[in-house]
Amino acid sequence: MASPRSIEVKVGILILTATVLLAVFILVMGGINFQSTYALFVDFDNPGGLQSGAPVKIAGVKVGKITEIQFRGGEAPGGAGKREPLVRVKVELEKRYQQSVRDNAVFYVTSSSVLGEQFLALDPGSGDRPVLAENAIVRGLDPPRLDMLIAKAYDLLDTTVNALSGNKDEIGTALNGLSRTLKGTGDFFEKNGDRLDRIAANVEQITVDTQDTVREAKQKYVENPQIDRILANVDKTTGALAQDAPPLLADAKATLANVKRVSETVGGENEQAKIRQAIGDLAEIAKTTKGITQDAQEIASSVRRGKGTVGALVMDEQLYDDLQELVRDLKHNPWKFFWRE
Amino acid sequence: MSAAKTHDEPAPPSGIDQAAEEPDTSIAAVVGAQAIELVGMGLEIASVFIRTLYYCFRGRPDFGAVVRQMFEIGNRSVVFLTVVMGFIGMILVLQGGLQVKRILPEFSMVGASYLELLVRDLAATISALMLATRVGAGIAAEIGSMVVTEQVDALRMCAADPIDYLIKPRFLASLVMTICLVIWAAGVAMLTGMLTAYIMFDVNPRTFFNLHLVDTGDLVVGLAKCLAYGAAIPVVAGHSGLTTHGGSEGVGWATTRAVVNASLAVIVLDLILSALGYVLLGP
Repeated sequence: MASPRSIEVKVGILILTATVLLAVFILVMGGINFQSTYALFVDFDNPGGLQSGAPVKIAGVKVGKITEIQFRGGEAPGGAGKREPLVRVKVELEKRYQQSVRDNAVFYVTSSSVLGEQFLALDPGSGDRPVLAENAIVRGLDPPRLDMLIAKAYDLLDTTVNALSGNKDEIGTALNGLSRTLKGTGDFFEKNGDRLDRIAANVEQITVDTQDTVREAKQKYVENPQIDRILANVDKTTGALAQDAPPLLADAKATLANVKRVSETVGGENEQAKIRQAIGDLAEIAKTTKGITQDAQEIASSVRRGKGTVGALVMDEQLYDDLQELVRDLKHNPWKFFWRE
Repeated sequence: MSAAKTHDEPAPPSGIDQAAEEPDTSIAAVVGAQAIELVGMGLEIASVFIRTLYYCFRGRPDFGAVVRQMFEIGNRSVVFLTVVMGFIGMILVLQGGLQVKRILPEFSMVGASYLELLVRDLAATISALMLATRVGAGIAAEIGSMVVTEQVDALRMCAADPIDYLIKPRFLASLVMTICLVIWAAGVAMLTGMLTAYIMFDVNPRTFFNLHLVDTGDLVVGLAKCLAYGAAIPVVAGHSGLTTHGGSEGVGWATTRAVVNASLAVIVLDLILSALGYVLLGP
């Protein structure tokens, strides 16, 4: 056996090696974390395969872990028709990340790969919101229920398969018809390719034209200041009308009342007879007047023709001249009234 | 332990067996005798354990003896354990990887689950089984030969309890050294497993060395197992040595019994601690 001194050294080396190995392992593992933590509570209806001890990650960086998962169905029954979340998950987050977790943070369960272990992912929220307080209770986003999805998909598939196998003939017929239709459609398109192209071009042209027309119409009828003026006038007119209508209506009413009274007055039998009589008289007067006018006309024409005294006086110029000369002569020699030469 | 005792049956009977001079052949009598023997031995081992603990606090301090035993138990076992755990690591990863390859060729989690398995159970248990054979046999043979050559009786004559003189230093040394050896062995197994995964399955060592699944609970369970095995092996082996009867043949039987009982103790403690760890600290 070696000397006691060398034995002690060897034993010490082994112990130190083991201690260092253990310390390195613990540090690498990071399971023993000296960061101070704070607690949050996240409610889920069904956190899936989440287990206590699972990590909490922000953008893939571990910031804490789940320390407790408690079932609390029936502990706090919700209102009518509403159910409180069944599971409350206690989360310990490191204090140094507290500033980045805001109160609109989203907690959801996800997994590192399809078959990987599940963890709680944390979308920290926007920077303008307040920091999420310690011991806050937040609602987590439930993971998609794959089992429910599969159950529903199974149901759907079952129904589909049953329907397919039960109606084989109909489906065959329908498929044949569909194939024929598609074939016919294809032929049609192939045969009328040019025409279809033209139609498409025309339609395009029409739409372009329509667009132009609409634009012009808009310019002419919508954006035109005239329209505004017309509208203003109409507005003014209707305003005035609204103002004037009541007095006008009152006048019209009064007029109508008068007319009614007149028609009532005139409408009686005696009045009618009198009016008829008056009209007859008027007709007779007109006839007489006509005769008088005729006589006057005859006289006037006789005068124009120079018949009779007046006619001669009016129409015979010689006479006129003689008279003029006589008058002038009398004017110059007034004595001739009294004295004959 | 029954296996050990069935072997033990033709050997010189121990204290309790001496009552049954003419062996009863009925099944009930055989089962009853075995059960009584088992309970008796359990009680004896418990008494040795309690007395060892008592002397740890009240006995005379013998630092030199403890260091010598540490050297014997610890340093002399390093090469043996390194070789064993190196091979165990290779075999485990190779077989596990082949199974994984058959199910789905995705090796990213092989390292993580291997490390968890190693930390939680295999490193401590396999190392302890190896130590039970090497250390347990050594202790039993040493103490057994001292019993046979009546050195232990001489100690008793001097009013010195052989447990204080012989078992206590081995117990303390084993407690410390089992932990150190298991940590070393786990490191070796991790290294060889990592190399195997890299060579056989092209798993990046960084991917392999994924301590994601290893948590504090795993580490606590693993270290608790180290402590339990470290305490159990010298106590069981020392008991076997102290109850040696007969000549050199008795020493041989005592050694065999020490190895078998210590291995059984390791397995039973593994089961108990694993269950306790699962209940208290989660999967």
